[in-house]
Amino acid sequence: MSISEILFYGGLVLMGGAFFCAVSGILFFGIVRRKLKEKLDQEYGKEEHS
Amino acid sequence: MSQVIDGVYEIIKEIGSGGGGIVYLGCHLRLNKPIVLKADRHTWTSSLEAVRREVDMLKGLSHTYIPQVYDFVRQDGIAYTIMDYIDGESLDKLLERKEPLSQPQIIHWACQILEALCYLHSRPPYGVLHGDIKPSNIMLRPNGDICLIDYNIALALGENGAAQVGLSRGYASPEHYGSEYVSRKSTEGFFSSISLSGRRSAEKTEKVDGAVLNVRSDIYSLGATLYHLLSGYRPAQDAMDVKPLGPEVCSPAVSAIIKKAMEPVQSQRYQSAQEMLDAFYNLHRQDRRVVYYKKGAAVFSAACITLFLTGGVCSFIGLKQMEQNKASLAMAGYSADELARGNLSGAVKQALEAIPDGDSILDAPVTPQAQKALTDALGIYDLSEGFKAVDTIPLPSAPFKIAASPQGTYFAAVYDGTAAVFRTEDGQEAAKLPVQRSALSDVVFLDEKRLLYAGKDGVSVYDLDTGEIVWTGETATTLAVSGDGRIAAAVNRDAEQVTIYRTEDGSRLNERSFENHHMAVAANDIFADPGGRLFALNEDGSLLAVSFSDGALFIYDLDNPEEDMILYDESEYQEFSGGFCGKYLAFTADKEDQSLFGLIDTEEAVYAGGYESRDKSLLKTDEDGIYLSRGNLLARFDPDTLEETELAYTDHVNITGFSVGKEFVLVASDDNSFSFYDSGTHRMSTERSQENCDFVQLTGTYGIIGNRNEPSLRLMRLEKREAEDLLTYDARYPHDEARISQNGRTAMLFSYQNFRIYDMDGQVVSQTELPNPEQIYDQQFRKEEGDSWLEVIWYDGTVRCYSAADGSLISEQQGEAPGKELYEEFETEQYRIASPLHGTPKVYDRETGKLVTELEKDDYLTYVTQVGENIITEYVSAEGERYGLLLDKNLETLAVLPKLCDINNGMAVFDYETGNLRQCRLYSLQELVALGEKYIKENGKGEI
Repeated sequence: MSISEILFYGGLVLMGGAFFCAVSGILFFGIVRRKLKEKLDQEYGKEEHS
Repeated sequence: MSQVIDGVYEIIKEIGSGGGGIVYLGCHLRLNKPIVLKADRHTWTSSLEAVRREVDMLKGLSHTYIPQVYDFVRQDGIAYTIMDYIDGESLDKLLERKEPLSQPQIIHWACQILEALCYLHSRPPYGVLHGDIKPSNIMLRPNGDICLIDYNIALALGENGAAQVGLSRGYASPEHYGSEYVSRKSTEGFFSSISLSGRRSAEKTEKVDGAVLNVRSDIYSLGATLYHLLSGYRPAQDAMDVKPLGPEVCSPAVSAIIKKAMEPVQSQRYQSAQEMLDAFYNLHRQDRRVVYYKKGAAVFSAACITLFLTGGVCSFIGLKQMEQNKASLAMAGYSADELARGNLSGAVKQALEAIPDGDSILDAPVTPQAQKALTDALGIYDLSEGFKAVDTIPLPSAPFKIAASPQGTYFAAVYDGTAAVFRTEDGQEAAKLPVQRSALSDVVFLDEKRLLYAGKDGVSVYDLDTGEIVWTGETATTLAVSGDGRIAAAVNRDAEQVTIYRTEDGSRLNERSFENHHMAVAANDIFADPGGRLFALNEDGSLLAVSFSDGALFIYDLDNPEEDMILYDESEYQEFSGGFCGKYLAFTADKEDQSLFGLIDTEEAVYAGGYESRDKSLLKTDEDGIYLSRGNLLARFDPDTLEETELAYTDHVNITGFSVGKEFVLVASDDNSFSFYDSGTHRMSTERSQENCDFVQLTGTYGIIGNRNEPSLRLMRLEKREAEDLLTYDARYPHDEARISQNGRTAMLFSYQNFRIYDMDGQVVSQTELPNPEQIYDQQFRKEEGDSWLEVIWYDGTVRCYSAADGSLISEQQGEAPGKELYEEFETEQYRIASPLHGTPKVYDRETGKLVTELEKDDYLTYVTQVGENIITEYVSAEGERYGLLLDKNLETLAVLPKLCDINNGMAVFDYETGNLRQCRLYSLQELVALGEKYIKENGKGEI
């Protein structure tokens, strides 16, 4: 493959990988966030708002 | 019997008492709702008005977590404060029962209390201070909310706070005791003291008297209350003695809030209830785990975004480069097309456009195809002598005729109503002359400066030097000029008469009638010239030969009409060509399936000779001879002896046109190609055209080629390459290969039969006949360690090595008979190339051993040489032609090296059968671009 093709397809792979990581991250951090919220609610009670 | 106060409030029972008085449960008789009556003990001694003002202040308060004060009545000397009945129990009751209280619950209460305090502290003009916050003054309602009660010692804050009026030990701030702690900078130095709390302190805390209560006092009391609720223990009375709550009691963040609320020094506490409330509100948000989570999520998001953007940028750059690559390949293709059309400057221009500047990151690397296109367009590695394409001259429309001046200074093209004259050297237009709008209109150069043409206003002579028309005669299309250039004959289309002029001044010398004979013309002569017409004057202009549409052929004696010769009065011949050569008229006459060549001695008026053939003939004459082409042979006839001399032989194609010059011959053939021949009948070069070459004209060192379908003319120029000569040898010596010795002092030309060694002055050093040439298996020219020799291998295994310096036998060995299949291997820095005799050369990676690619399938690979980063492969084609390919490190072709025979110290050496070894260096891309740009600058246009 030429450098141009490597750049193009590699770039697409990077973008795809980033998207996949982003989706995985959203799922992962969503789970962590929920668990953390449960823990904090347990510790501090429901978050008070002004 | 229950007591009724003020006729509205019925006391039901006593429910409590304290420092402020007795508290009764009552009932609002009108509203029928429970209320609380507080009989204020202090009213016994306090000013009634002061109490009233206090109640008025409390009456104005309205908050969810503060009981509503409704009324103030006085009866029997007792002041009663009427307020909401708060159902539930105070928090001290829970503490007494040691009921487990969760941290979230306490935080929730803290927030409610703080909301109440925010409200109180913000009452105009300076806020209201509770002053006695403690568990017993906090009611827990059945719904789980709290209510802050007992405003006995609540104070309206003045501008400077308020003086203390009462306190609850443990919950009271230092200000309640009338003193406060202040921080002063220590004069003992930076490392003066470290407190028990572990704080490095450059400050000293002192207790001073005269403090007044303020909102921070309530903050302290609330902090102390929370301390008690969380730990189960009342905090120490002295603020300095209060120990922070550990993690076993509550979360570190909550402990920190309480600690700050209970700071001995006021300025170090929360400065407002809102601030402390915000601290509780931010517990979730500012929790360390949340902070880490957010940081982690932010870093991860940033990484994903960066990765995505990086990918996007890379993709964009790659896409742009790929697009540029595609455009570059297209441009390279267009360049090749222009080159095939003979438009050299167009080919160079397109090739340059295929090569990006390389200034931008979006510029793709130069494609090998682009470099090859530029190399091909510049012809940088074609060192052969011969006619090379110079340019393509565009015309507004396809030409009908072309003509050239005798020495080649000018050439002219006749197209739709115009004769354009060009300077041969630079292709620039010298004149544009209006002509008869007919395909029959002729242009004839009288000499280098003047031309006779069928002008729009009449036959005219134009002077190219002055740019003026010298004279104009009558309307005419077909013209002829005598050999000496002094006499011109002119006839208009198929008119029945011809007019004779003196070319010098246009004076009319004679007129002759054709007497019912007409020259052949097309039905519409504007666009069609039927060709095949003979109209010629002899050397002195005394005789005019004319062919007619009825097959007649006459020779008119312009001085003596009675001496006219009628060769054919009428015949079946449809096409004629010919002219005068000395006293002879040579002509051809063609009819279906037959062509006649005839020679007439005009002095004797006899048929001197000729013959018939089935091949179509073409005939031209000049003062030097008669030139006749039949089929694939062009020959010159000596008119006196009729001796035939071959000028050109076109193999399997037929000649459709020719032009004979002093040293060279230009021939067009029916395969749409044209060829140049030298005086030894050797074909110098052949080029293909997209159309049949209707017009070919040699003039001096230029050749002009055109056809009736394309609005352009191709200009070729003879190029000598003596400057690149390395060695000149006897061109008659037959050889298969030519090699230069390692030291560059000798050249060896060899074949299986023999070899000859030349020094660089062209002198033969030695010549050797090889024994048993038919038994020779292979020959290889070796260059190693400063020495060179020819290695010859026989089938019986004999190996002889001959020195390239003097041809002497260096060694002779008897080895194993070689295998039937000739096989060779070559190595470069990166590749190993295996080349069987009857197979396609395969290229393997030297490190991995993997097959990389295959080289030219049909041709035999003879040598491989590494030159810098590039590789040169040398081949012998199936037709026996030697050539080389310059490859880049990826084995892509950068240039074709025709006639390549050797690589000598980085220089490419070419062997031309004309007896010349020439050499040139290999050009880098930058040099090629510079050459291309220079070419465009010097040769301009580049029109496509």
